[in-house]
Order: sequence, then structure tokens, then C-alpha cells
Amino acid sequence: MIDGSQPNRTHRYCRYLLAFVLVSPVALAGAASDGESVRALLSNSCLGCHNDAVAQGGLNIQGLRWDLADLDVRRRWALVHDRVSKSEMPPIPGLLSTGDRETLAAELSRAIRSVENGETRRHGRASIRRLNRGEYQNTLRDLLRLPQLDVVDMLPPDGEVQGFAKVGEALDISYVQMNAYLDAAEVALRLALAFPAERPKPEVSRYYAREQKGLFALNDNSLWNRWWLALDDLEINAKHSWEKKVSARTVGEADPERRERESVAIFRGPYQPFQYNFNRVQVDHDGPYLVRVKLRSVLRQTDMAEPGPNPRFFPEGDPTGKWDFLEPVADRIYDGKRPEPVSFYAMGGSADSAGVANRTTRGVRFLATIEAPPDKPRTVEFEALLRRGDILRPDTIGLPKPMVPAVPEIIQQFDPDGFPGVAFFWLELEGPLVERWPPASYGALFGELPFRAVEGAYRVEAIPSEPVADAAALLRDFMGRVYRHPLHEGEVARFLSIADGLLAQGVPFTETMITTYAAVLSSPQFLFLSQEAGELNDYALAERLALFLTDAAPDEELLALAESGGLRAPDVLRAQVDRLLDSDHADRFFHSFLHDWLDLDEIRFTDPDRQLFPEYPGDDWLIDSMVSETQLFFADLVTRNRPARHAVDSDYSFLNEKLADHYGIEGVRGPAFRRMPLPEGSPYGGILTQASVLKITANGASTSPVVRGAWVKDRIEGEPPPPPPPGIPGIEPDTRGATTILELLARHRSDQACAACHARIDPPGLALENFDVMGGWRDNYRSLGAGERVEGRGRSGNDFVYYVGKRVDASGELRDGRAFSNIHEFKALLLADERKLARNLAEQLTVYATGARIRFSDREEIGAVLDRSKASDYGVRTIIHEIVQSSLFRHK
Amino acid sequence: MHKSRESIPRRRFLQTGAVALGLPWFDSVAKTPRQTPLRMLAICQDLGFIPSLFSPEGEGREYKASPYLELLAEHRERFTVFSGLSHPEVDGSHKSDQSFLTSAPHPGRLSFRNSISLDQVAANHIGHLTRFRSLPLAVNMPKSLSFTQAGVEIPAIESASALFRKMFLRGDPEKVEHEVARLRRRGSVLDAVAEQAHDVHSRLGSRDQQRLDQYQTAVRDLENRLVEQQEWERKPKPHTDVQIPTDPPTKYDYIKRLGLMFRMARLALETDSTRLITLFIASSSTPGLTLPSGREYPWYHGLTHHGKDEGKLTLLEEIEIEHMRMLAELLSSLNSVEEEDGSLLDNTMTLYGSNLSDANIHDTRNLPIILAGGGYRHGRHLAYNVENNTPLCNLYVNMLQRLGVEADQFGSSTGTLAEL
Repeated sequence: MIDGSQPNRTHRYCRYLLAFVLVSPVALAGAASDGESVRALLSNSCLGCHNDAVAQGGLNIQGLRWDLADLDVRRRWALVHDRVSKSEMPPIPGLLSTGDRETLAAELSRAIRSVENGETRRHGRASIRRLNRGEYQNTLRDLLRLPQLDVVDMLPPDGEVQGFAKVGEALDISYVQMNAYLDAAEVALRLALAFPAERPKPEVSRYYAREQKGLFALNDNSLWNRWWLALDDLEINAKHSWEKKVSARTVGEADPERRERESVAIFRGPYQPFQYNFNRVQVDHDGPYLVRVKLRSVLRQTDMAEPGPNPRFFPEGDPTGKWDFLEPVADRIYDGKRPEPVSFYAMGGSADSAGVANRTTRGVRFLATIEAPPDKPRTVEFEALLRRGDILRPDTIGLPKPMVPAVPEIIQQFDPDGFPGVAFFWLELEGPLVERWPPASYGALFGELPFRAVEGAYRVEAIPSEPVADAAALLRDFMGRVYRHPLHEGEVARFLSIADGLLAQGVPFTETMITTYAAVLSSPQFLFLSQEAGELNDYALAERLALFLTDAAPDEELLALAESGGLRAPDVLRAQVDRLLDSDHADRFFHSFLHDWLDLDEIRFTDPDRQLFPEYPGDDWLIDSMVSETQLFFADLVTRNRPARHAVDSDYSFLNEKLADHYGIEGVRGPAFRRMPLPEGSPYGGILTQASVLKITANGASTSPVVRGAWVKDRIEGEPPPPPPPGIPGIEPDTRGATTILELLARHRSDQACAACHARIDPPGLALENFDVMGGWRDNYRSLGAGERVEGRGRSGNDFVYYVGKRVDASGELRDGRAFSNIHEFKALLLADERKLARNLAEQLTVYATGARIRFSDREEIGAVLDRSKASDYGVRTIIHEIVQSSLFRHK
Repeated sequence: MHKSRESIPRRRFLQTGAVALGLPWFDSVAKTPRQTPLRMLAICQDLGFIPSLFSPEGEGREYKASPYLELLAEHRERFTVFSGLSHPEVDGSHKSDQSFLTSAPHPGRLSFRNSISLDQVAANHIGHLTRFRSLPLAVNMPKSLSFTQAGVEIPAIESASALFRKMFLRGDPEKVEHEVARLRRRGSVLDAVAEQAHDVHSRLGSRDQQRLDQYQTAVRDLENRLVEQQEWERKPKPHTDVQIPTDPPTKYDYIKRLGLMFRMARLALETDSTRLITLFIASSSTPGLTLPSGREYPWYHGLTHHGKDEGKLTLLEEIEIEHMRMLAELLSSLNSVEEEDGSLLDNTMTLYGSNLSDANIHDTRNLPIILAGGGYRHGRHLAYNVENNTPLCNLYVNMLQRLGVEADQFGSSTGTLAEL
């Protein structure tokens, strides 16, 4: 072996340990005399164990730098302050007298605060920052009146601090980003002009299911492709179902009465490569449409027999070629047993002719969830915002989504009564239901100028009367709306010279304006927040408020208030917070904040294991429901001003049938969410134990108390643990069942070096051990090797075997000695300190709202926010109000 | 090791570029000037390999190939396999993919900030010599291994046909002029934007000025790139007899997509469209796949969390064997292209590895790393300490120097791999 280790590796390792345990030992004493008095107090009581030679717990106070200007060093001194002031250190009683302890804490506190206050005066808490890409898109949607604009994916991902993409230090910019801004602005501007010359008339178009190749695209006769049937009422139309090459699977216009009874019944959820959609749907114009679907649910029963000499199906896809198949015979169709939920999605069509390279859409957009009635066909209607080129995709979300290879013989074993299915008759579109003409997006760019269609393209161009003068007027108006401050004549002239130059070169007027507008949208006055150190002026305040509560730049009302100078008045500010929280745009705040705070955007990062958790795979309805629950729950906390402690426990939640089943709660039917009281003893109250959180903190195959514990400390308790030591790999989960995770973690308790941190980290995770990787309740662990054997067919069509193993032990002990034996007792311990839970939420919201970390000296102001929120039981809306009124929010 | 330097000199090609690079420490060892440019192809497959099947036994030239390396037997003299390399302080999680070519510490941490990637350091020196400074490519996820100086991801190209079009299809002259005009227009816009930034700058405090400096640098960098692009736009694109490929439609076509991307990479290097390619193979976001045998695997990522289950390990092994087979094919393919100074493989440092070793536990130590081609003395297993790993960046410094970059440090490097 080559000894490649560098001499300084070990040293670096130690330094690292030191650094994260408490302090960084860079010997460079600062000039501040305060350092000397602090050192004097430390020297007698602390240096015995924390010096250059011996550094207990990895802390060398002797070599600790007194450089409070350094953010990291300062944070560690703050930690020293906390340990001392809470009497956690020194560990031997009497080593530091009460008086010295108080003096030391006060000295440290004063010194740190003085440094931070100086910084705040000079720079403000927050750095100047650019819009993040979500804010950028929302702002363009509002400014250009393009509610469906989708340009996020054109921009590189944003950096984050403490999980929030709102902090200047992490919002970098490079030439790549710069180029992307110009591209994205151009795409958005061109889309604003993508409409026909004449107001489109609403039309009604009907698309029969039997004419949609997309509903039976995989129609070779391999066995597992038999997931659809052509039905006439409840009769199977053998010709249209089984024959391979049929030119039409419908009677067509020849027999309207019979055509109305024809349907395509689908007997599974979509899962690659088994997708189905109404592929012939044609959407010619962006806009609101009415979608009508005729559908019902059915039940199919099939007898299985040994294949005869000429089997109807061939096991073509069997990888081994040896599969012992039974042949489905004697299919029968009945009324459905229950209403089946069906979600509809729109999928972006191909590139359009608007002169825009692509519409940058990725994936699918959710439209609505409806129900297919079991007893007879019914027409269900919903509204949807569609885009030109869209096709529509139904998803029978309640049906299993077997993966390859899962044949009917297997699927039928999900339910001995037969397979449930959904019969689709037709889908109708009525629209576009245009309210304004020309579209508002045109006026946003070209005001009252007339326009004409561009020949051969799906877009219009403006017709100027005096190009140079029109350009000047339009540009001034545009910049007035785009820049969030009063315009300087100089800056208008600067962009006007671009426009003039292009016009002089003979560039067409519309092209000229697009290029010039794109430049305005890429300039720092648009991209960056305009904050200066000290108290924010009205414009900066409007900006911060709008970005906090609507995830976009301020609207006209806020800007008008800023212009009049009235926004700073506390009651005006209060009224504006209420207005924004009650507006539709507040959803953007809930969405974006929860993504950052709870990592909700990572909900699909892992899939549940098909062997260990065969009931879950492919259950997108469950995962979507998890996210909805948390979003509805948080929105309700804000809207109804419910207490911050509901982050940990509540006696209600928002449930639909799917989630209620998952939580073992009866009596909830249908896909619609409603506020429900939770039964006595249910562990599912509060964000902490919502399935979304429990899934995000697990890896699909196993749960780790360390991962979950660290997450809870950080996000719910507001006490982020130090990062894991380098060079020590994670606990290796053992799904064979020989050892439980608890046994694997024994070392965290027996080894003192581990225990120093893990005594804090592990307990919340242990309390959550009764929840499996999807948040389902478990009394015993499952494993692949030891315990009581369970076998069957999984939801994804696979054979599974797992073993019910050892009992879950969700007991533990907090670092302060308080013990809990299950999740209920653990929650009770957390709820004992309601203010701590409120503080965490207030701090998370403050970082999000102000774009700056919470510093030592911010604690007082956060405390004041909490004091003023206490009377409302720390109501979340009150906390938001008080944050906005606080000096943290009102100063840079 | 000093011998290996004999094959380093390529002053000649470096000097043909617009910027002549001084390479003082090569002077004494330079013998014959190299006619052909040296290139780099860096590949990361993000789910690692089952360590027991990947890691060879023994070391040096006498090492005993592991079952996986056995599949590369015909190329044994054309590659070096490493053990005991990793990025210090790049911890265990899938997010470590972002650090594979940068070594930026703690990618899983909330406060993570990335830094410049290996290929981009090289691109800053030799990028202007080709139509594409670098080509970040990806399979099954729009995610790239390449990052700018500021740590901003450079988007990867996922579509083989789009890449082909960019490389070989020339628009008609009118379109070319249109594109040049567009680039020039964009450049002129940036002047106004830069002036606007100047206005803001003067009103800011010192700390905020630094943030805005980054913006101003971005504007200037973009201006320079636009000028370069205009020049390239007017030059004719290379010719190829290869037909434009069709993109396999779904993520399940993983193997087909990967094979196609390997072929595109070869074409790009062969035609000197770029000298720097990174390829991110997003196995972790591959929902399932079909092997050329026709056998279907309904999942992939899940198999790596096998929990030591024999059935899953077997399936995973079958997929990983296919990866090694495809690597062998890639090496053969590069080796079959003859150039003035040996084969295309000889002139292309081909790095193949993963950001994870054992994906079951998300282990980021002891990464599986293979370096093929590039004119190195190969055929060895360079075994570093598995308990106390050597920085992977030491290898990267070595590669940078070979590309003619005067660097003695990159990322978390502590030196070079002297043994290489």
C-alpha cells in the first residue's frame, strides 16, 4: 500500500473536530480589551481542561481567537456563552462562582452584541440579494400578466443558507445565470405576444375515448398489457378489445346512440411504461376552459385457466421465458363497487409556433380530481387553465400501479372480488373562455398600440405610429412598473438608447422592444433588492413584505403606499399583512416556505421498498395527499391564527380518504380534503408526525433515529445539531432483521465522545420509531430475514416476503433526564416548552422574511416578538404580524 | 514516476491558441512536440459499485483484477485503477454528486456552496480553442457535474440529438447571420446593464459591493463569451458521416441513452468540438431499465439499498456488470480512432468513477475510480490508504497539469499523485 496520507491529515482532522465541537483554535488574540477580562475569568475555571495540551471535548480555550468579527468564531463564542450561562459548564460545581459566571456571561454577551450592532449599523443584518428563481418567475407572472408562465427551469438552482433560498450570501450569480436571465426574459416577453389576431371564439370539442390511441397505446398481446378493455355499456366488445389491428375501435358517427355507450375501461394506475392519455385533445389557445368528462367505475372478474393451444395472450415480456402463466378467460364486467377517484393532468405539448424555442415546461400540471360513480355513467365538469398544445392525462389514482412484470393473474390477487376499473366515455373541452381582449399580457408591454398577426406564426406584433416616440413612452411606463423605486431620467435614457440604436439599424419595432425590455429585466434594479443599511425606506419595506408573503415583487397597492410614504405606519403595515395573507398569492408563501423549512420538495427523493413495504409502491395518491395535508395545515395555522405548538401536536388535521386510511381513521370518504378532529389517542396530530415529515426523514427502506432526530432538533426545536464528524460513516441499516436500529445505536450511549452530541440528537428520532418509512404506524419492525414470515402480492404486482421482527421500542430519555416511553409522552415533553416551539417558528420565519441568519444579538428582538404573541397562544398569524412590526424586519 | 513526464509536452498545441501558455517546468523534459491536443472525459455514475466486486486485490502491476475489472481485461494496459481516494469532508449523501469534480465540502449541509469544477478550471485555459469550451452532458436527469467559479451549475445537455445538432448541423447562412446579430444585440444590451450596475454599486456599503461585484463580473464574462461565440458561429462546423440520433423516449431507456451519450462524447472529441466533457449518469433517478438481453428491471436506486439481501444484490450486480461492459466498449471505441499521437484514447484522459462507493450506506470514502488513456503509464492498481484516504483532488491536479494548466493545487488537494 502506498502511504498517501499527508502529515497534516491527522492534524486537520483534529482541528476539524475542535472546530465543530466548540471553537476554532487559531491563536490570534484580538485587540479588544474585553477579550482579556473574559480570558481572566475563563483561565481559572476552564483552562485546566481546555488548553493547548489537553482539550477536553475538543475545546482549547487557551488558543481560542478573540476575533468576533469572524462569523464562525463569533458563533462559537456565543456557544461558550450559552453553555456557561445555562450552567452546563464547567461540569464541576463550584469551579466557577455564581458571580463570576454571571460576569462572564454578561461580558461575552456585551462584547458579541457590540460587534454585531456595529456591523448592523455599517452593513445591516442582511446582504443585498437578488431575487431567487421562484420569486423571479412569480414577479414576471404578475408584471407580464402571464399566470401560466413557467421559466424556473431555465435558471440554475439557487444556493441556500439554513435551507432558505432567501439569503444574499448564497444567491450567487455568474455569466451562466446572466445569460439565463436574458433567455428567460425573452421567452416570457415573447409568450406575452403569443395569441391570434382575432379574439378566439369559445368552442366545444368532444373527444371520444375509443378514438384515443393514447388510451390503449400498448396494444400488443403480451399478457401484462391487458389493462384496458373496450366496453359497450357493461359488455366487453371483443373485436375492439382483443383484435390487434383494428382500424377503428368505435362505431363512429354512423351510430350516435351506440357511440354514446362506448367506453375504454382502464384497470390500473399509470406507471411507466403503462401510461394513458387523451392524446387527440387539441388546445389551440392558452386560457381557461371547462372540461367535461363522462365516466363511471366498473368491476372486472376474470377466470384463469391453463392456456390452450392458441392462447389469447402471450407472455412475451417474460424475461426468463419460463413463466408459468394462466390464461384469463371469461371476463365479466359489473357495476363498480365504489366511486373511483380520477385526477386529471395537462401535459405540455410540443414546441409551438410563437417563435419561442420551447415552453420550458417539464412534466405535468395537476388540474383536478373528480370521482367516477359506480352505478351509472355521469358527466363531471371542472375548470382548468390550459396551454396551447396541451394534451390531457387521467390518472386513476386509487388503483394499484403494477410494474413490469405484473400480469392480470397477479393483479387480481390484490382483491379477490376482481379488479376495479374506470370506464371513460368521452372528454369535452369548452373554451377558451376569454375574459379580456387583447390578453392583459399585451397591454403590459404595448399599452394601447394596435397589433396585427405575424404571418405564419402564432403571435402578434405591435403597430407603432411613431416608433421612436412610442418606444420612449412604452419604455418609461414599463420601467416604472418593473423598477420598484422612482425612476431616474438617466436610467430611462440608457435603455432608450438601446431601443433607438436598434430602430436605427432597422430592427423591427416589436423585436426592438423585446430586446430592450429583456435588458431592463436583467438589470440589477430589477434583479436585486434595494436595501440600504439602517431602517428600510418605504420602497424597500414594500419589497421585503411582498417577497415574504407573496414570494414576488410588490403589487400596485404596496407601491402606491410606498410612494405616498404611508406604508411604515404600524397599522397600515398590519392591514397590508392581512391583505396579503388573505390574497390568493399567499399560497406562494405557504408553498415556498414549506419547501424550505420542511424540505417538502424532497418528498419523492426515495421510493418505499417493494419487499418490506409492499403496500406502498407506486401510491402517488398517498404521497400527494401527504403534501396537501401539510400545506393545508400550515395555511390554516396562518389563516386562523392557530398556536405555534401545533407544529408538535393538534387534535385535528386535514384528511381525505387516502390519508385517513393511512392513519387508521375511519369515516372519511372521497379525495377531497376536509378538516377533521383526530380520534382520541391518534399519534398524527401536529406537523411533527405528519406522514410528509416522516417520509422525508426516512430513506424508503429504513428509518434512522439519528437522521430523524437531527431533523427534528433543527426544524422543530430550533436547536440544529453540529454536523457529523468526518470519516465516520453513517449507521449501516440492516434489513436482515438480526439487529434493530436501537441496538446499532448502542455505541452512541456507551461511547462518551459520541454521547456528547447524540444524547441530544437521537431521542426525538427514537420517539418516532413507531412510524415506518411512509409514516404508517408499526408495533414491530419488518425485516427480510428474521421473524414471522409474511408473503403475498404487493401493490406493484411483485411477490413479496418479509418478516415481522422485533418490537419497536420508542422510548428514550432527553439529555436533561426526562424520560418518555412513546411518541405521546415525547410530544408532552416538547409541549411543556411552548415558547421554544414558537421561537423556532419565529426564527425560521424571520430568516425566510429578512434573508439573514438569526444572530446572538437578534435574540432579544425575537424574544420581544414572542412576548407580544404570547396572549394569542403564540398564534402563527400574530407571530407573522409581530415579525413584520419588529426592528429585525424593518431594518436591513 | 519521472518517466511518465516524457509524454506530457504539448506546448505546441497550446501555443497555437490565441493565448500562449508558458509551461516552464516542462521545458527540460519536452522531447517531441505533440501534434494532437489532449482531452478529458470525466464520467460519474452516481450509485457507486458493490465494493467487493469492484475493488482489486494486490497492487502495482501485479494486481489481481476484481470480477468487475475482469470485464475490462482487454484494456488492462490502458487504465489505472485506484483505491483509497476520496474527497475529504464531502460527506455521505446523494448530494455528493455535486462535489465529484469540485471537492466542495459538505454538499449535504444546508449552508453548502459549491466551487469550480475540474473541467472548468481547464476550460478557463483551453476552452477558447474549441467551439464548445466544455460539454457538460447528463443521462436521465438535467443535472451537471460542471460548476463555474462561483459554484453555479452549468446546465448539462441531456438530449443526444440536440447535442448532435449543436455540433454538426449548420444553419443556413441567413440563420448564421441572424444568430450573430442576436449575439451582438445581446452584447450591446449588456453595456446598459453594466452602467446600471455601476449606479447601484456606488450607493452600496463595502460588503454589499462585493455581492454586486459578482454581478458585474458575470456581465463582463458574458460579454466575452458572446464575442467568442460570434467568432465560432461564423466558422464552419465539422463534418460527420454519422446520422443524427433519435433520443430514446423514456428514462427506462437508460442503457440506450447512456450508450448514445458515449457515442456522442466520442464524436465531440474526435472532431475536436471540445476538449473537455463531463458526463453525469443519474442512476439514482432511473426508475427502472432494460438490459440489452431484454431483461427488465423495474427499479434501480432501490436495489442499491439492498440491505444485504441476496436477491437484490444479484440484480444490482447484473446492472453493474452492464456498466463495466459499456465502459469496456467506450474504451475500445476511443481506442479505435487513430490520431497522430496514438489513438483517441491515448489522447483523452478518461476518468470513470462515482461519488459513492457503497451506495447502500451512502459511503463517500474509498471511491471507485478508474483513469484510462491520456498517455499515462497504466496497467496498475494504485492503492492508497483505505483507512486514511488520499484526496481525489491530488489526481485532479495531476490531470490539470497534463492539460497544460499551471496549477499545483485544486480543491482539497494536498499535492499530486506522484506514483501515477
